[in-house]
Amino acid sequence: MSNVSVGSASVSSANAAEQETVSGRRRNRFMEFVGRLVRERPLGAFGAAICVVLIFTGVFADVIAPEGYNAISPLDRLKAPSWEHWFGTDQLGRDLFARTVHGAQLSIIVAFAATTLSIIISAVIGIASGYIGGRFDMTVQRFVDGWMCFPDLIILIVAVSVLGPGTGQVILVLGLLFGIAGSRIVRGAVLSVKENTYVHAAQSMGASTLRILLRHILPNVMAPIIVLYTTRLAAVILAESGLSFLGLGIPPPAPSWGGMLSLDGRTYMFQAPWLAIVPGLALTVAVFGINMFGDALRDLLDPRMRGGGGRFIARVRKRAPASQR
Amino acid sequence: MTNTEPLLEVDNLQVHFKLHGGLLGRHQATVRAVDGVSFRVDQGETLGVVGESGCGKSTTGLAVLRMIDPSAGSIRLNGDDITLYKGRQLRRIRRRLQMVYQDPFGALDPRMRVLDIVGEPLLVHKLTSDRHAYRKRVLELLDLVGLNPKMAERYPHEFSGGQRQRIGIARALAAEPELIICDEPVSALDVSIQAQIINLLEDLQSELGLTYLFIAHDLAVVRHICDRIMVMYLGQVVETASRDTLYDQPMHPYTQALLSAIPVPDPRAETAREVDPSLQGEVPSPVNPPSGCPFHPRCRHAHDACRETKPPLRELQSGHAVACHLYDPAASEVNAPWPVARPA
Repeated sequence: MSNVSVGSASVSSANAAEQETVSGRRRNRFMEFVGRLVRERPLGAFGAAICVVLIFTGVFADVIAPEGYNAISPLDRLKAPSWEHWFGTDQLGRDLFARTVHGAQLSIIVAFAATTLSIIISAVIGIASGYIGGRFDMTVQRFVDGWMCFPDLIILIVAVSVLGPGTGQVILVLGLLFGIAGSRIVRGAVLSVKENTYVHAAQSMGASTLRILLRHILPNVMAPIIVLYTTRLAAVILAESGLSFLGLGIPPPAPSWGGMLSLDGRTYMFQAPWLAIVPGLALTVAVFGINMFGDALRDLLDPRMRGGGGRFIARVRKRAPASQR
Repeated sequence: MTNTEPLLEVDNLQVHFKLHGGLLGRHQATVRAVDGVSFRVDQGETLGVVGESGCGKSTTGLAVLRMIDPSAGSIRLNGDDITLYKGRQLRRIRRRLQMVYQDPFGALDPRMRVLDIVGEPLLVHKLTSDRHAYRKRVLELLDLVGLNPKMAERYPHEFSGGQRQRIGIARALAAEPELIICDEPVSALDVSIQAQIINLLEDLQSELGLTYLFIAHDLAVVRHICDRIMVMYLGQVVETASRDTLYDQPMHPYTQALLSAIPVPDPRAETAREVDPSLQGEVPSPVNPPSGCPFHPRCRHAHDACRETKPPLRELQSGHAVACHLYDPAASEVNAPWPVARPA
């Protein structure tokens, strides 16, 4: 099979420049994305910075606060914030800064584990249900309906009272809870993607269902899945705090922010207000940052926003009256 | 080329869709999208399928591809009856049948590189042994359809409509299929690009000995590329003939009406041109097709027999078959073929 004369571009001369752009493309795209984030969604960039700080704090908690979250010092009970104890101390003389930092670690572990679990559940249920369709879809969706009819808190309380408190249980329950609810969103995206001609083309080519799901459907529903992931992260952190606040989450002395608010914060609210303010503030900032970043991500991943198309049109419109005159 | 065994032989193909409605989803009506279509495609030829929107030409293509299950009839590919193939057997047969799609923007996965798009049939049917051979083959295919092989690493959104259609054709060629079904491959393209793609398809045919089932509604395009043409109306074949016969001596009133609707490049002739009035109005619904000949409500030559009995597809001359009572040799009142009305 040689070249057919069809009247198109010349075919010869492959060069090294092409190879170079291929390897650099991925990195360039990341940098381009960061640039767009900062330029087009500054608040989202701020949120991203908060997320980075949060993750950094969580990962290096033992370096930042080497004394640990449970170093009791009876002499230093309920000390106000000072140079020695930045955020003050609690009723057992434990340094609140160290506890907050380790709380970040705990929050991150729970948030990422539970969110990852929930996204996997969402993706599996959503893609299977949306792609297979028909009676299967109908049956699965009625189960999801039934699940979503229950108030979340009741499911959480029942599950934790059956399984008992603990980090693993919290991750499992939150992952399942958010995963089943999120499958709706993935299913919706799959329903629109599977109608594309390229999915039809893959079917008519003889590709197996598994291949179509992994190579065509999944990559094309990644955008909503990524957004779902970021919004769920914040929701999971809040839910874990809520559970710990109610005493159903991660048992003390582990420094869950919700637990700190509930146990120490509420008891000593008037004598030592920093015990409630600090974890509350940490929680607020973390959730705010993740939400802002998630919103920005949703906007930037929307193909209609890609390449600054919206801004270009705005610029053309502004210029148009002048040229008409 | 007619002496050889036909590559594709479709016999009395029917595709009926059941409409469900009401509270319990009961069967309400049947859409007879394709209602008893028979044809054959010989090795190396191009069969054009033309007709108005909704006449069942695309459905016929999809049924041949086995993307839609036929309700009745048989489809034979090179002697193998593929009508009832299922599962693995069906997936394997799909290597031999490939499709080029109408919409060049939707037909390519936006998340895949051209290298992966064109090479997907190779992976699906395990046609290459290693990564190197795979890449070599894909670049060869790109070259074959007139694309620069350097473009293999790019994504579909970086290409124009015509280039994307070339990618789609390269993908269809990858598995070396016996039959390529082109479903309106150029109707979404600019006229200048249409010519390029048509020429490409012709060049590939002569180079590789391809066989096309070419579905289109643009009669000028069909005239250019097809060897034989099949005219469909409301799920049925009304006329089949070789290209020149069909354009020079259309026999069925519907074919004549269609040809009269082709615009003429000369503006004076164009204003003088008369379009057959029977093409005005809507195609009857395939849910409730007219009795007798499907075209009789719009046909200006309709008489009683047309309303009562469906005319069979009769071969009048070698290779020229018409389904029309006007040409019924047994009819009491003989209707000789009227002088062929051709626009200037």
